[in-house]
Amino acid sequence: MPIIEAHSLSKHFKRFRRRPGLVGAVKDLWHRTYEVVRAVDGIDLSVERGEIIGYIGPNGAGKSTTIKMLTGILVPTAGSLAVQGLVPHKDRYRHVRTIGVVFGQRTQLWWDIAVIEAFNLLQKIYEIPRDEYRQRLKKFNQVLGLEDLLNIPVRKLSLGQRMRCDLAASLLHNPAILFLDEPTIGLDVAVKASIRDFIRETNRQQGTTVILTTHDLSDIEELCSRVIMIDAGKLIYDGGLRELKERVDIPRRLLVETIFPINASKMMLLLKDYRLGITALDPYRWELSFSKGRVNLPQLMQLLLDTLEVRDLELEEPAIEEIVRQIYDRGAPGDAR
Amino acid sequence: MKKVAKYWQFMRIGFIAYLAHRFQVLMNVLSYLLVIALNYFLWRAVFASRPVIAGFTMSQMMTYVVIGWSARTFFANRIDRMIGDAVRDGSIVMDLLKPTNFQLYHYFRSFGRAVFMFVFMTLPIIVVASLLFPIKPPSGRLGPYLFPLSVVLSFFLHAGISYLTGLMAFFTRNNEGVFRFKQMLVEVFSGVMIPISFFPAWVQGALFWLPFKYIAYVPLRIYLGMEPLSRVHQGVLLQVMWIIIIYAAGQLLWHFAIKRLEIQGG
Ligand SMILES: Nc1ncnc2c1ncn2[C@@H]1O[C@H](COP(=O)(O)OP(=O)(O)OP(=O)(O)O)[C@@H](O)[C@H]1O
Ligand SMILES: [Mg+2]
Repeated sequence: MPIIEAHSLSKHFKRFRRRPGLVGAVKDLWHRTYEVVRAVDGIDLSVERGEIIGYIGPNGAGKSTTIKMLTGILVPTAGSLAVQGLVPHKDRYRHVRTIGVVFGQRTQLWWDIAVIEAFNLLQKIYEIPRDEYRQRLKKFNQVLGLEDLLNIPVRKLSLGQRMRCDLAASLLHNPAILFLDEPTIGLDVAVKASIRDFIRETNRQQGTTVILTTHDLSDIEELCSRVIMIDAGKLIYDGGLRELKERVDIPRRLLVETIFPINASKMMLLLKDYRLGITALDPYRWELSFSKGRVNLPQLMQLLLDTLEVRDLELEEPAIEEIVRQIYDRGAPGDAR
Repeated sequence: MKKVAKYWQFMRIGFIAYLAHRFQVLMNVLSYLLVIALNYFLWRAVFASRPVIAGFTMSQMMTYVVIGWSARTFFANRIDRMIGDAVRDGSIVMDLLKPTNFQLYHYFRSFGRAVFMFVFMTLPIIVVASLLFPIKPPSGRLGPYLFPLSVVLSFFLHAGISYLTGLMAFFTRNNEGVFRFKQMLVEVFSGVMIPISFFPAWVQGALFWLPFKYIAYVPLRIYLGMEPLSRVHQGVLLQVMWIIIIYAAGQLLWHFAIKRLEIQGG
């Protein structure tokens, strides 16, 4: 049985629309006009125990709103939702005992008190057996390097430090499902890596189901086998990550920076055998775009290095936003369930 | 047992969170002493012409002022503002995600703060004030026991009122107005500023049906031994009754509140 199941789940917000100018403001006093924002608009979801799901989509797509419904904070406008057999907002109390949640922008700790005090409080709130708590804390300390942070008040932690503590806090009670809403936002590479390792390990050892939203494609690439994509409140893809990338043909970009200026005709001539889009950003910097599989990349790079005085080469993979855009513009590539 | 440990920990964090601010708090001690002094001289002037007003002798009134304002530092709380801020900045979601009784969480967390305030404000204020002004000890055989009990009940009563006020943040954008209004009601009708017996009879009659006077006036009358024992018991029982009623109202209102919740941002 799926651990999360949703049918035509929707959340519509009514948003007050201000009319411009003084006349508008006066009119607003009399008669307010509202517009309906379909933040989540009839999505179907089915998640199996132990999956790690990347939930992606552009800004304002409805990801956070979905997470808030799945965690029981928001009441859906329409549709049905069951998480571990419970309706989250109705059975909020029982539901939240079995989930862990991290919102990258917020903390679940308490600003004015030390991390360890907050952890101890969580132990009491979730009624975690003492031995289990001690063991888990010890392990988290090792994996996330919390040792030196435990006695610092939360408001004095850096973003990365706080995020590690928050992640630990969300897993102290060994939840069945972990919801992560942009857990790596604003973090440096090292912290990102340790957080990803931690999530992966937890999933493997405890069988924790993970739902992760992010704008960082590498999070998805490292963690998720399955991607669910949403745009403007509608599901536009649900399937494997590799299938997704293969189905969508988005040019990769190679940025070439040279020591000496190069004129366009010389560049055209040099690259005439390759199927490339060539754009000069300035005489020193060129952008070469091409489809994956259409161009032999090592050969191309070799040619550039051999014939030009190259200062720098940079390969840009398509950003998640571009993939979303492309899928959205063209319509879903087949298997949106 | 587990429940007790939980509420104890709520109190602990309420207490600890204020340790960082203890110097600020000591500054507040000075302003409270100033307020007490002002009230003291004001009331002395009022009593200059008459020995007894509204059932109070001058020396009872002096004690009333000092103990009343000192106790206020203990039973004051910030629950309404904490909830209002959390609703406005959206951090309320983090509270909703915890499997715990939100109302009791606030009661006990604030009680931890109250214990802190007792140590760092109430006691210093009483000690200094008792050196400066003539105040009486709690009167009668039961006064020393029933007064502290009654003030603790005041705390929970006031906490409940603040909680209900805080929940208004779910229904209105104008928190500040609501909070101010509640604060005004409590200041005036709890009896901290002016004993209830100074009000016109019809106001006193109306106040019988409201919880406010059980916050300060009733405990202070107990302190001063101005009530016969049966009335003392009745007063304490009514405090308990109001605590229960307001708690229940809070539970009910909460269910409506979270249905309306539309979290701002992120
Ligand atoms: N409380 C609210 N009232 C009105 N509209 C809202 C509210 N919360 C969200 N919305 C709207 O719903 C839409 C979806 O928002 P949501 O926060 O779910 O997006 P998101 O996918 O998480 O975006 P991001 O990647 O920027 O975090 C947006 O258009 C947003 O403006
Ligand atoms: Mg979001």
